[in-house]
Amino acid sequence: MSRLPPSGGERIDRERPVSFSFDGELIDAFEGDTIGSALHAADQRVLSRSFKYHRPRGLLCCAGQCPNCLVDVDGWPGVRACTEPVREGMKVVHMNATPSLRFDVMRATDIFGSRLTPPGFYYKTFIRPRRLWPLYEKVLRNAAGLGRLARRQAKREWRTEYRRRQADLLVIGGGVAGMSAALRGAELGADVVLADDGPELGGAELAGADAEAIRELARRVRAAGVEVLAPAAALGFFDGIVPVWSQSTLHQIRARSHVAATGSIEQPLMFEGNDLPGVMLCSGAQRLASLYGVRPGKAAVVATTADRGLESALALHEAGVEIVGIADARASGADAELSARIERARLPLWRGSAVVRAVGRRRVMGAVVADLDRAGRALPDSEHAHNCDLLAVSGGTVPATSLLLQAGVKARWDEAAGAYLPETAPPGIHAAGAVAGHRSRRQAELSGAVAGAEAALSLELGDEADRARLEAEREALSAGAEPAAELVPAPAASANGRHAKCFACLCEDVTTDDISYSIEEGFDSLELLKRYTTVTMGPCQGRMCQLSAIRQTAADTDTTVAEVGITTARPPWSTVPMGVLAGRPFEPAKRSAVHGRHRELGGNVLWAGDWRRPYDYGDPKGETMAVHQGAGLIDVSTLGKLIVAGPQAGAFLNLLYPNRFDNLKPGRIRYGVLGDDAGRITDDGTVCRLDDDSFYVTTTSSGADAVESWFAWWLAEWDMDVHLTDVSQGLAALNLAGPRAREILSGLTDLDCSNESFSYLDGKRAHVAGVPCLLLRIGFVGELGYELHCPGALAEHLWDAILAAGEPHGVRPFGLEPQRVLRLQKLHILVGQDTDAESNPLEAAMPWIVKFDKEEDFIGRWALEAVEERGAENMLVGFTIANGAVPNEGAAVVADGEPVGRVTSSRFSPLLERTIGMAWVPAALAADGSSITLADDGRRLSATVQTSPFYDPDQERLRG
Amino acid sequence: MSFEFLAADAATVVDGVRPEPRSPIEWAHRDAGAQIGSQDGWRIVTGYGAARAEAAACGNSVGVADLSYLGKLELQGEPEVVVAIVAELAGGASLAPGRAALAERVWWCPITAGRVLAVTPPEATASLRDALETVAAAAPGFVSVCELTTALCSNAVVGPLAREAFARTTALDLRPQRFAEAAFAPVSVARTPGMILREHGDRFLHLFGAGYADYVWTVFIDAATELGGRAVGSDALGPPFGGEAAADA
Repeated sequence: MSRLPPSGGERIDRERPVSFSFDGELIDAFEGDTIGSALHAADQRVLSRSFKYHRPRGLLCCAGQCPNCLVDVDGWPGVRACTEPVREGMKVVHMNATPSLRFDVMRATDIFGSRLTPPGFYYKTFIRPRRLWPLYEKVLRNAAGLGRLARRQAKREWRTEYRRRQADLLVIGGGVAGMSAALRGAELGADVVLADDGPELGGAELAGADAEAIRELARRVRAAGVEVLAPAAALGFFDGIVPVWSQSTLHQIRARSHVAATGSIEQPLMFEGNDLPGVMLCSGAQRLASLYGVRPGKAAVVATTADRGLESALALHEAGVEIVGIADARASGADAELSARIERARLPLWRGSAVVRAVGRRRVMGAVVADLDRAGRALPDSEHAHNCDLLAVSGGTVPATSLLLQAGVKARWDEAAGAYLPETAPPGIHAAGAVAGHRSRRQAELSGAVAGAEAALSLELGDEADRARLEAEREALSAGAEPAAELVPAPAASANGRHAKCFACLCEDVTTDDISYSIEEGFDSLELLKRYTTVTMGPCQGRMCQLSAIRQTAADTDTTVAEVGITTARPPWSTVPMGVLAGRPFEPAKRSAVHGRHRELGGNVLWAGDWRRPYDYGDPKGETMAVHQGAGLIDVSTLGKLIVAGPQAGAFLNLLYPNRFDNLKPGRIRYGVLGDDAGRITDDGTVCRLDDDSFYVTTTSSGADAVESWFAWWLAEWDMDVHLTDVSQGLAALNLAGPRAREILSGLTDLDCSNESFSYLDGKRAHVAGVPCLLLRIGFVGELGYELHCPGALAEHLWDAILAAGEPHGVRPFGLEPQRVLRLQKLHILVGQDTDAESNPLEAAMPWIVKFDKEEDFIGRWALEAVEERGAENMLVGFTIANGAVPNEGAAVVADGEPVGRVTSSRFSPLLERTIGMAWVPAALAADGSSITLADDGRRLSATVQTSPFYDPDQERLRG
Repeated sequence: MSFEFLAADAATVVDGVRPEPRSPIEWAHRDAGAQIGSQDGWRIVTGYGAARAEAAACGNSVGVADLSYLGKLELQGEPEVVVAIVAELAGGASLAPGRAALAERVWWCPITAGRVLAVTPPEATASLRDALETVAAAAPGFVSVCELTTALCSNAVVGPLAREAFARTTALDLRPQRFAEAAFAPVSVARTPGMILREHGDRFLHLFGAGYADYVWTVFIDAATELGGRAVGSDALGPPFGGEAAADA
């Protein structure tokens, strides 16, 4: 066990033990531990295997930035062990190693196969012979990828959702700078949200000596009313929306102003074996010790290019780690106080030197250090080796600028700072803290306050005193002293002719040799290099490797870092589960006001457009026959219903439809077919004239919204004195149909329902069972029928009353499937099924719809005149099949072996006891009695054309 | 009135019983154990058998109530005519884009310059409809009045976390500084067209097509439940628009 004695500021609660398993072995931990800290405390140093070479990997950054500790937790792959809190009973298993973490057969790629897998190997190897590609592909696909997902998920197991949040100020990054910005903004009256990807506010300073002061600042931030989201990772910047992922919620934050205080990222060093378990970033080692009470190693060599490495060495020494030596790449220039403390502690300090090699097979066992020449190259004859189990490294830091760059900020290379720093920012974007180059705590805090004040004041919050204060703080910030710049670039890797690997990109297993090799091949710009080698494209997204790749590119192409530039920053900046991006599955569904009754009656409810409708009630054949023999009741509330009212309402409809409506008498109904400018059928329905200035228009269920938009568009275009109101969802509609329909209806209303008084295509207003209704005597199902349109709030009552009154007459509810059979018997079309985007009313056997003798123009007139002139090419006809075979809808009509048409509808009619259908056929075949051949699923069917309705062709039952 | 068939309150007595209009999702409320009562001719959900929890939801988290019985009347005409009619019937109230006006317990909500939606407590719907039709008939030009009571459902979303419930479904900024009392906006909510009115404080009215009633209810109850809230009945909510409790509630 590698636990240190308790210390103030640690995150773990030693009074609350937690246990979990790793690869089946029980691990003891404390509440507050991460999986990584607990495993390290249990002396488990190898946590995963690398992507390509399957090399053992262990903790490196302890901050969720590198790829070394990805594990599978309870079946969820890709979890970073160094930041994931432990939970009692969690099952953690390794990823990317078979059969075990200790022995992985794929390590052969590293030992024997790396010559076969250079950068871009998939363009050069595994190509010939071509016929083997399917095999290569299978092997490569199985070898690639990290982690596995369960093949089957029975149901959506994880509830995620979106939350939209508007704010005055969004601060990204909860370190000292971010907290200061948030606090200042809130003090000036801004509505502030602060998002930080750590488990608590404080950032890197929490691992330092002044953790309590940092936590006090966090308390002040919350007390000021700032909404704190933590842990919460900001994923990107999308035109003013910043999605922030926190647990199960994706916060879509739209703020008027933003402060990015995203800090900086410590960089690894390049040397042979720099990926061995035991090589850790200085900050990572410090975090383990101070936050989790875990000794990162017994004996450490510290390698650094900056003062932060010296600070870490002192911190580790105070935590009880033996410091074997400190290799400082700087020959001089270290902070004097730090140097004095190191001297007092008698820690060996090797100035002007660097680690050239980590020694060990499965973990660090030692380090080889060498002196550096003026150019930063190691001098081979100066090497000296040391035993150690921890190699703590610091190659300086790079500002975490990705989100700023996504927001439109430009970055420039700052030679003095040795980093790409953000410069000109668009309005509403501010940078604070280390990301802006302010590395000391005091400067970071001050820069945060300045950024927060600038953001709030730009929103016209605050007053003159606040402006004056801001000016003073700006001056103090400019005058403030930064720590000695990290002028020494990280030493170049030196392989010294060995075959040992030095990794530039830990995520993708890209070595420094790979980069040089690729540049030699001609991929000598950073963007090309990135795409060819995949450097910076892994889980770390360049956090650990971009600057070193840039430096090497500059060196290998004899250019400067500034000339090389940086790659384009793209979201997501942090990994995010797909389930979080999916959010709640909103699937709008409409249901009629009678839906409850359909459920109670055992309705088989399915989708019909965006409605949920009963297709049948368990007996479609019986329901169909009930309509013919007694009565049936169907809920057609889904129909579109528009009130078109005004002095020009009739003229308006005349222009829209090929029909004529201005001569429709009040109380009468006419069937209408709507068309577009090309004369093609877009919808159909009925129009009932309510009075001189009002019409009640019905549409198909799925076409209601489109028709309403079409009407509204033309109304705006023609600017007529007409009002349009969509009452589709306000009125229910029940269709009572069958030979007993009149008797049933008469028992429920005072209205005279005799045929003389209430004829076919009459529309009347009356109360039925006490419910105010508009009754339309129309027929879609071929029997005497009434459509009762009533307020939805009374529909259930009406439905119940009709069924009760109709029970002695054998009334049954019927659904969409019986309706389809019944309407097909009458050759009534279903727009969108029997018609398509090419269908016009003339060829769809409805020439009587088109009133060419209307004086005014109407939509589609010109196109329809052209059709009439040329004559029909294809016609929609009915057909029957004698042997009862039912072709699939969509089956082809063939002639001489070639498709010449298609079946649009087909059903077996239980009443007629034969197959009936509709099909588009060439005009030459469209005569009654013509024989046509259908090709369907490998069979040929003979059918006979019929152009008149199959049932009640003279409409005696309908009009009686 | 040629559009009487649109009016839920136009039912007549048959065999001593007048059909009572009800919410299009009364079946869902029944499934959830709702207590159904009568008020102003409507069947309404008075509660779910958890009076304390419902009151607590309204006070501490979020309560969602089905107020489909609110009257909704749409007035259309030339903008200046509509303005004059509203001023006449609403005690001189004037409307501005995005701002509704409450007058004598009627909310006047401007959808467009020439289109206003009047939302009324159920006992006032018929009288306001008559008043609107009378004034519309006398107004210059063509003015129409259309009953949309059953075309639009209305949910009350109430409580300190009401905005959080909306935040799961809409991108509209409902913070008080941006959406103050009487603010009104047509907006997409849970991917469906709707309208939101901020009555006062943490009390919002959400209006949407009646066909979506079950879907919207499910979405909001799901969101509310996650926030520690729940469905509530009229008893927990009190009468709409600041009225006195009805005698027969």
